[in-house]
Amino acid sequence: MTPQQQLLEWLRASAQGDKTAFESLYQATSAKLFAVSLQLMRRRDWAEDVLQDAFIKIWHNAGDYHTEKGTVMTWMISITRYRALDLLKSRKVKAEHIELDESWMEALHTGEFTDPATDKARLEFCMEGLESDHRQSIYLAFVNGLSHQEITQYISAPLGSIKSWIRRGLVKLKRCLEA
Amino acid sequence: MNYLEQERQDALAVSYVLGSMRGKARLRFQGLLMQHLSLRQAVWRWERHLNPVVEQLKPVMPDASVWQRITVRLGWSAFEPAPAPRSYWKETFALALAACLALVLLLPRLEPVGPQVPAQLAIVQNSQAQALWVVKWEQQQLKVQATAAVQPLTDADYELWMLPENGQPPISLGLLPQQANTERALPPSVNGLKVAALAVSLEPRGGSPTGQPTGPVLHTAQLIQL
Repeated sequence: MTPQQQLLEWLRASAQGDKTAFESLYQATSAKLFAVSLQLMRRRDWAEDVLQDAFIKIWHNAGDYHTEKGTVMTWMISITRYRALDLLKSRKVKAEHIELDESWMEALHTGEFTDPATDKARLEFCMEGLESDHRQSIYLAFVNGLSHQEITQYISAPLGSIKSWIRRGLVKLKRCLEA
Repeated sequence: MNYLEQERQDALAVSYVLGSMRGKARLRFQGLLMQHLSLRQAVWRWERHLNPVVEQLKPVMPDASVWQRITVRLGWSAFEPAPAPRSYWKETFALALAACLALVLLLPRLEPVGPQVPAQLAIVQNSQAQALWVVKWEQQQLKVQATAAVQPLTDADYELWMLPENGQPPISLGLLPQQANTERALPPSVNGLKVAALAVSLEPRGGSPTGQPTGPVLHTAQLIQL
């Protein structure tokens, strides 16, 4: 069984009320989802609140998953990210406390994704095709939850440029990913 | 649907997925999502495109109390753990450093003179990142050293579990010492299984009566290859 099939199996069993399967799902995915939440919340206690809420939702909505929503991991990341984005607003996280995790960018350059058949390799290829300002702006917005205004503090560029870089970058990314 | 309409939907969807849509606009959009399948499909498409970006982040283990709090909220367990400490990073780093030092100090005691066997090691920490037990996993043997930070129990025991990577139910590795150290043979049932993590649960005196964890999971730890 591939890891993806295993996650799907645990999720399917969770939807039918299997607590042990849900715990396995938690054990297998919580560290990844916690990293996602930490990047957005930048405070460990808040990130833990998000993780908790996300897993409660995953348990209750396990039966709503379907493959059009992506892999099980994609779906769980969406739930975690949206919960974090909801809380970000109410808790007014200050952008100056941000610690950027560049590991993904590093992985890009060490060629960690080697299997060209995977979606990740495709994403790597397409992200590399973007101009670096565009790529960085998209990364800061998506991974760190920064507003366009906040991004201007990290990349010394006017707001108008950031907006257009993100828009153009995403259009190009989509065209490449769906080619 | 005409092309322009599709373009507009796509622009809204990506702004929602990215997180740049905030506040009232976000709430309004969530309402639209409920009504329009094509809009949901646009959102799913962007999630499939962008979410793999964060799958590449380095995993970070959450505190074991998160799982406990989830089980409490789902009504599976009545046990309410103490809330996680609030101010974190500096503390965590300092204590993690302390844990590493403790490990260095404890290692010689765990490693008698003799031939080197490939071993794996796990440090079970509490929510303040204090080392509680140092677990050394050798080919057939498990060596456990308790530290002074272990909270002594009078009418209960700490039990150690191996969580197999294949999702099989946890396998008991026996009770944890509350002080000093122990050595025991690993149960044959762990042979050939990859370890996803170790976990410590709170159990009645003498250990779980069912062969599976019955009390709250207090801590989890990862094995590190030495």
